[in-house]
Amino acid sequence: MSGPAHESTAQQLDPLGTLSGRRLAIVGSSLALLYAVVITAREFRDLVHPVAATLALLALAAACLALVLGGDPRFAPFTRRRMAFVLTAALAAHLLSAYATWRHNDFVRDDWGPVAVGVLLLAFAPFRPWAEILRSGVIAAVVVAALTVVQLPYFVTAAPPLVLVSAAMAPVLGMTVASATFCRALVGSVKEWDGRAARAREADVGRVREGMARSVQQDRVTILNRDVLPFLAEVLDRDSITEDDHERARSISDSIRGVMISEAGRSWLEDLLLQHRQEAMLAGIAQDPPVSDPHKVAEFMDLEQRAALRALLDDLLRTPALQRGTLAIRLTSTGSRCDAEVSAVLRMSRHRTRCLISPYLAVFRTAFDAVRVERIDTELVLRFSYARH
Amino acid sequence: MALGLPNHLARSRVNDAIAVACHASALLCLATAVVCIGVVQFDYPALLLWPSFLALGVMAVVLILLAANRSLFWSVAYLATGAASTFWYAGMLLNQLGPATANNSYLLTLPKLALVLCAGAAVTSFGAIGWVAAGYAAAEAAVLFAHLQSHTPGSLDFASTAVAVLLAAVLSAVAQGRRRSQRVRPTMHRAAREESVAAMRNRLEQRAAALLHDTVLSQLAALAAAPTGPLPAATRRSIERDLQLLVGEDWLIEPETIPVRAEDADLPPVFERSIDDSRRDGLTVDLAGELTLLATLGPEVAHELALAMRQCLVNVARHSGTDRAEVVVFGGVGELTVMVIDGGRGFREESVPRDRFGLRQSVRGRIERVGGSVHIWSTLGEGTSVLLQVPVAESAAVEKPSPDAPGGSRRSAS
Repeated sequence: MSGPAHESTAQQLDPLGTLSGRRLAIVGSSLALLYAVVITAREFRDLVHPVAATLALLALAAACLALVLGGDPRFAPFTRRRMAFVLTAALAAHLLSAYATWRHNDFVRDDWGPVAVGVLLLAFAPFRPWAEILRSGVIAAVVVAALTVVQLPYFVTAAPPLVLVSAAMAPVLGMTVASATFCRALVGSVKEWDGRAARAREADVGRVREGMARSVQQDRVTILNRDVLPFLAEVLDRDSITEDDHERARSISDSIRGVMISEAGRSWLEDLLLQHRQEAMLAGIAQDPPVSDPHKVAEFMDLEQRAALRALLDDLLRTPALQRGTLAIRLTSTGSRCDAEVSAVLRMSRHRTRCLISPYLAVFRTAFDAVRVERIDTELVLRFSYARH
Repeated sequence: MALGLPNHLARSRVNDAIAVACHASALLCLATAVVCIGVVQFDYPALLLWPSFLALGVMAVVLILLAANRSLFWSVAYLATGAASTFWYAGMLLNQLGPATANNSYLLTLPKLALVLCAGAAVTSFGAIGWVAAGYAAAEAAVLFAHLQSHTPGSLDFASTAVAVLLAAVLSAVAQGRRRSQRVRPTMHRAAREESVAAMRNRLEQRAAALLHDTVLSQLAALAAAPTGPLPAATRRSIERDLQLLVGEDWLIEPETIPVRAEDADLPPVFERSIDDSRRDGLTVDLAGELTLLATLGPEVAHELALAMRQCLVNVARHSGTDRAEVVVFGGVGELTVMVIDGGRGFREESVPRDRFGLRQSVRGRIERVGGSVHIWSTLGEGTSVLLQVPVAESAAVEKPSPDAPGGSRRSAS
């Protein structure tokens, strides 16, 4: 795998299944922000530091925005750094909101900070490993508990301190546990399925192996039957070598080498698009070879990358909106990196193009580096890169 | 390769994961309630709060049973026992602590949240939302009856309402997102299968090309260079053997089924054949090193290594200008190395024409296909060393032969 570093996250193991992760991020962020705004508005007259309250809302808004943008499949994967930023901004918002009601915070249950932090931790579930979510949740809970302990003298309720601390920590810990266990269960399911699917695929390939070997062998024997075998049989029958045999041996050898060179020079990608090119030519559409790979770097894609690209090309080729003969792939190499560009003219609206391409973008984001997509008029251009091993 | 869950499993597996999350959080709520009630009981020994532990305990036990077996029976059982337990727990708190305040309303909320998070048996996301609604209704009804029974005023619980709304929103978002991925999943899984098959075909074609090079092209080159006149007996035998192999056998299916003539028990037959063929080419081959390690290789690796070694020896016989070569075998951690050394005229690898397949297909291609590597050191006028490294299973790699073992000695064959 030469794409981004792989982690045990639902997003990386099942990029298609976690397309809804962004919705979760949007829903969670909206609810957290709405809750914070409502509580702040309700308590506004009692605020000691309104500026701090406003800054707290702004910090929370920044955390929510980072979560929503980071959860977009176009910017996947959701990195640890993004998670740290979101969590730090949310905890800063909680600290500012506590400062805004300093010494006048009567009830710990009125604080929106722990709820907002908890909801954001919940929204990390599709994006980060479960152990990391758990660690982050515990750290956040400790921060919330410490802030509650500092405020204990100012609460008007006479409840035991441990109960008040527990009330403050409960939203954070509850949603952390939910987030981490969800992530662990889903990742476990996906890994188990992947193992089963890989074994089934292997068995499947094993079943067709013998037939395929015969087919490949037959292709070779057919080529040999034309010139080589009759020639060798003739030499054996005659039991002698003539001048003419020298010339025939060289000529047949050159012809076989020619076939072998053209086969060896054709990449799996060219094989994949061979049919598309033939169809375009049959339809009378002149097209340059659809694959330009002067450095022969298509071979450096691993199985997952090839499968992702194959699936996208399959879907594009089956789309009636694809203008025949316009699908092209350019592969170049600079140092240890390979850059790829897939372009095609699609006669469909931008919205439909986005619907077609966005699930693949989620997959490409986990399989390749530097994935970018743009639409110039009707032309779709997808760029990505991968390591040259 | 991570392709994710197929459509037919995605819904149930995601719903299962949500249920696991709900049950873990519900258990945490109940545990927190136990701790908090314990603390209050400890601070106010005159109050009679400890019997509520029983209510929480019953609820926790049924919750664990539900988590272990998410069936309709246990879902309904949890809602029923949970509602009864919450009623008992809330009644005890309201009777002992008085009307709900900002303080004890938190304690009232904890078992209610555990009920909202019941995550009962449901096939669809909307079914799961139904269980959220049922849990919420059961929890609110239980606490409402407790208020009525204790003649204390009750109000809508913001926390349990918010958790119910949040959970319903999450389930709805998951269901919406699933629709977007449904179209693409089958294409991805089909592409992965086709890619596996294409990779296998590619391996078979490369193996076929290498065999073609070793047999047909080699024979044609020999005939093109042979002097006119009667066909030499060795050439005749060689052509007949290759014709029999190419036409009469499934030479691509099982590498180890290629017939070999084993004259030396120390070497696996497939290597013996390579050495034997080189001897027929008129080459003197010195064998040295840990030859018994060759027997530890898997059939495919052994087959490819033997053919690559054979091609190296063919190159020595044909291009080096010497009639002697040395084959040295030695093992390392997880790998086995074979060196083919000659003292011939040497060459520059970059000067080998593109249409010469010997080194590229029959040596490099073969060894790389089985996960190995090839290194070549050649100096013009001084000779060539070709190092073929292949992976071995760990257990095999550590089983080095003893110094007295057969095959550890130096032998010469010509």
